[in-house]
Formats: sequence, C-alpha cells, structure tokens
Amino acid sequence: MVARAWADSSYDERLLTDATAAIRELGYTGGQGEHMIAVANGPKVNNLVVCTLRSCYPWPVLGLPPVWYKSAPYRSRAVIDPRGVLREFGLELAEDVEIRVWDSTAEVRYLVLPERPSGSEKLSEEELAALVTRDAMVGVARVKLPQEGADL
Amino acid sequence: MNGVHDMGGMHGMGPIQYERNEPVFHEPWEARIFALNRAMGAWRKWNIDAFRHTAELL
Repeated sequence: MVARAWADSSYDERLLTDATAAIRELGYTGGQGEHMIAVANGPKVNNLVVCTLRSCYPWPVLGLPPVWYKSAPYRSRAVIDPRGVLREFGLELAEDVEIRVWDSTAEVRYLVLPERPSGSEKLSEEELAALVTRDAMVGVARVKLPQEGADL
Repeated sequence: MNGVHDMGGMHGMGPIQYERNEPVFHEPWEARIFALNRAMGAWRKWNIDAFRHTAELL
C-alpha cells in the first residue's frame, strides 16, 4: 500500500481519502481493519499511532501488535511526551517537525503513510515495498534507504 | 469513563522495552488462546464487547 501510494499518485489520493476502500483494493480486509484512516508523514510532519486504552491495532495490514505497543510505558507517554517516546525509538526529530498523535478507538484504526525516502526515485514499487517497515507505519520510525540503515 | 486501562497521560511507567525481531507469539499457549478466542467468536458465543469487558475486569 505504501509503495503503491508512493508510485501512483491516484492511489495515494484514494488511500488518504478513503483508506478502508483503498486498502481493500489490494486485498486486505478483515477484523480490526473495518474502519481505516491513513495519515501522511511529510518533511515537517510525523504522525504517531497509539492506543491508550488497550491494544487497538490494524490487524489486516500490520498483523498482531508488538508487545511494546500494548505496554503501559508506550500507551501512557505517547500522548504527553511523543517527542521523548520517539527518541527512545532512536528517532530524533527537529524541533520544527510537528508530531500528530492518533489515539485509536475501538473501531477506528490508523495507518501512517511514511515519507518516501529521498534518493529512491529510481526504485521500483517492489523495491520500495521492501523498505517499508511496520514501525514506519505506526510512526515510530522513518523509511530509509538500505545504505542509511533501514533497521531500527 | 476513567479506568485503570485508560493509560493516556499516566506517569511513572518506565522506559519502552523494544524487542528486535519480535515473534508474533512468545509462547505456544499464546497462539492457542488466540485461536480459541477467534473460534469462539465464529461460534457466536463470544464477541469483542464480551472480550473487552472481561479483560477490563482483570
């Protein structure tokens, strides 16, 4: 989905307008993903998804949530100190980058559309897809080219 | 409604414990319980509201 959105501007638009339908187009449907909203990162915006109540997470696209996502430290602090939380994940954002925190509800699930890494203009959709990580789609990491070190 | 599960903004929960290459299930029983939970839902004896209510009584 992310790579498709990067490669195809009309898909990007559909994903950001009606994420549930755009995700269904690619065959991802099912429980915990009935109401999806996609939020786009940019040079001055970093979106971060949390579920302060429990562990609400978009299963059809990301699978079951990792333990840290369900844990008390992440859930309690993501909403009051998102910059500090991101720093713990090794993501240091400049002061002028706005952080938008999305708190999932029982029904609505969020997906972060990461920013396409600079220098990736020549990569194919498949090559782009291989760069996208779960963490980037939750918003705790940015997508990087392999030589920059894609791992957290 | 306030409750112990509504954690947004709470203090003193410590650092985030990130596990590299985390498996989906850490123990076989987790997968078994997950499957049971799904099967009971398909059987219509259990649903997400019952699940949430029960979990929040813990």
